[in-house]
Amino acid sequence: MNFLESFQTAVEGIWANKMRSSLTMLGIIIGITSVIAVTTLGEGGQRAINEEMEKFGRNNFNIFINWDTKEEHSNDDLTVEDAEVLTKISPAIEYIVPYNPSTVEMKGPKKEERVNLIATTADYFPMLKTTTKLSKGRFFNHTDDKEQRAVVVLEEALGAKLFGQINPIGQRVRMGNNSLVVIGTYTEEKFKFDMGAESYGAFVPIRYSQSLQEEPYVQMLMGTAVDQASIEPAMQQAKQYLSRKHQKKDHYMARSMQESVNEFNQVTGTLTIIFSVIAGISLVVGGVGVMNIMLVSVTERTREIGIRKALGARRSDILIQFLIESVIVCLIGGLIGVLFGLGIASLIAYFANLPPMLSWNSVIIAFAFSSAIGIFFGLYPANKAAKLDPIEALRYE
Amino acid sequence: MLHVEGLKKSYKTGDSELPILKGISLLVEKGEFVAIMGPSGSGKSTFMNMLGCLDRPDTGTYMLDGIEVSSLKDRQLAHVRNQKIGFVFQSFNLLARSTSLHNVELPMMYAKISKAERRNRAIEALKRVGLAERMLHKPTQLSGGQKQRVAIARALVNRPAILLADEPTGNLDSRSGIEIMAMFQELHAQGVTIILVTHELDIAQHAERIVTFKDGVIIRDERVAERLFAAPSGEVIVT
Repeated sequence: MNFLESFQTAVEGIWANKMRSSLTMLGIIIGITSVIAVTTLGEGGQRAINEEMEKFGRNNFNIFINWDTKEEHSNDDLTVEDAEVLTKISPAIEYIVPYNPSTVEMKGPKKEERVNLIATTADYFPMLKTTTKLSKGRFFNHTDDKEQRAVVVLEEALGAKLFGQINPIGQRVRMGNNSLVVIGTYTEEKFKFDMGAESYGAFVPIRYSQSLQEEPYVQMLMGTAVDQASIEPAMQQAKQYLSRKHQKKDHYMARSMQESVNEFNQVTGTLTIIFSVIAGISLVVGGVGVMNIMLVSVTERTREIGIRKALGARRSDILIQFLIESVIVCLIGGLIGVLFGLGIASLIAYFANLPPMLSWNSVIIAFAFSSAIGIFFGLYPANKAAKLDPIEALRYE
Repeated sequence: MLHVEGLKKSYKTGDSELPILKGISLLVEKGEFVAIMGPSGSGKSTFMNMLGCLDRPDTGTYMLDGIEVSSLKDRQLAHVRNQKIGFVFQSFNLLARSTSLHNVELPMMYAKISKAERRNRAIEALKRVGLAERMLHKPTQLSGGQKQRVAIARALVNRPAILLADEPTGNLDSRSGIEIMAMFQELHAQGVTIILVTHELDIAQHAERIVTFKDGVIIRDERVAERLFAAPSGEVIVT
């Protein structure tokens, strides 16, 4: 009997027991659905977040103080000048800027607001070009910074909160006892997966900010390499320069966005595997259901097997007939499961604000898996059928 | 054509061995029509299983159409069953879900005959037993006699060396039974070798020769003196 005919025979067998076959399929459907939903969401979510992270600085890196070192710490371990010199001398670094974030209260004529204030240099704005756009006025420049001018650039929405209908450019905001002139407003694309509360941002020149501090310091440097291949050299050059300049060997650490992304991927990858395995257990349960039904089917069709053997069917003919039957049940179940799984994944993606996704990998794996389950759990019943003694099988009532 | 020599078979029941066949020797020539008779437990069914290559003897030889089959492997036995033997059973043993046509095609599927030729030969065989117009009926839509005729068509379709019929009339009313015997006699007249197992003398008398089993041995082997002839209409003609 050739494969096509075995296939036909198997389909007839399944069709003859529609109800039972579909219930058996249900186990496989549920298993494949959960595996597909989990892997699709895992992979798609990961991809979406990676794209987002890349947009926010694929070549970025940070330089910060190693607080665990035994070397002595001082406030001038990192300085604004360090950043300015590094930008000039390092070929791998496009820009590197000092970066001091803090939370402050800002007061305008309308309202007082909590603000995430970043003190940095003018070089920071070109680093933000993919996500941040100037809407009014201007960013501060190097002169504003050198002369420690009390100027601030506000997020547009913050300006609206503090000043209402009034154009904030040229107006003053109060920050503690100090008064700053608003020179520009900007809009920024927020990081999509930032679950934090709504908060507004603003930028001030770092030298002005330091002039208010009793002991001026720089918390960290934020840099961007000229290209992806230069990230490592850029970090090395920055660390070497700082170590030499400050005569501190073990004092500086560097970390790239790429490393963070990789770490994130590792974590989500592990999570996806764990969830897939859990989902896979339901697939195995479905497989056991297939085996159970196939055993019933073999017993029920003992006489048919006897007839086929008397007419010249070899063991392999019978084995293949039943194996194809269980594989077909699993494959149909797999197909429906893939559709359900993708449906559930896109539904969740829709509500979780993720882009629509389709992971061909998991679809292929699902089909490979369901055929494997069909073969694995079909083999024992099929072999049982193939080994039946024709005389006893013919006598079976 | 068919030559059995010193065939023995016993079955284990618990610790003891129960001998069923105690040394059977039999020669059947091509074109013969032989009936095998005997009470239940006489070993005639076991002997039929041996002849049908469904079981192997413990000792003894079995030559079928020039092949020594008693030493063949499962796979080769399946091939012999497919090519050399046509079975007709008491309970018809048709596939319930399949049409007459598909049932008759089945042995040819295992013989790997092309679809077109299979169809032609199956239709031919169904015509031969007078059921061409019922080839798309399923077994449940057929009478007992018709079912047995489908089974005969199926048995003949691979042009076997022998036709083995195990109580073929056992599940039929007497009229249908006679019809089947008429068919066997017609096939015999066409040159088909037939071995028929029955416990009814008036059925056995349709054959040319009766071999009688008792307690695992052949106690009588003789030509039928008063042979019965069945008319296709279901009437018995005594000669």
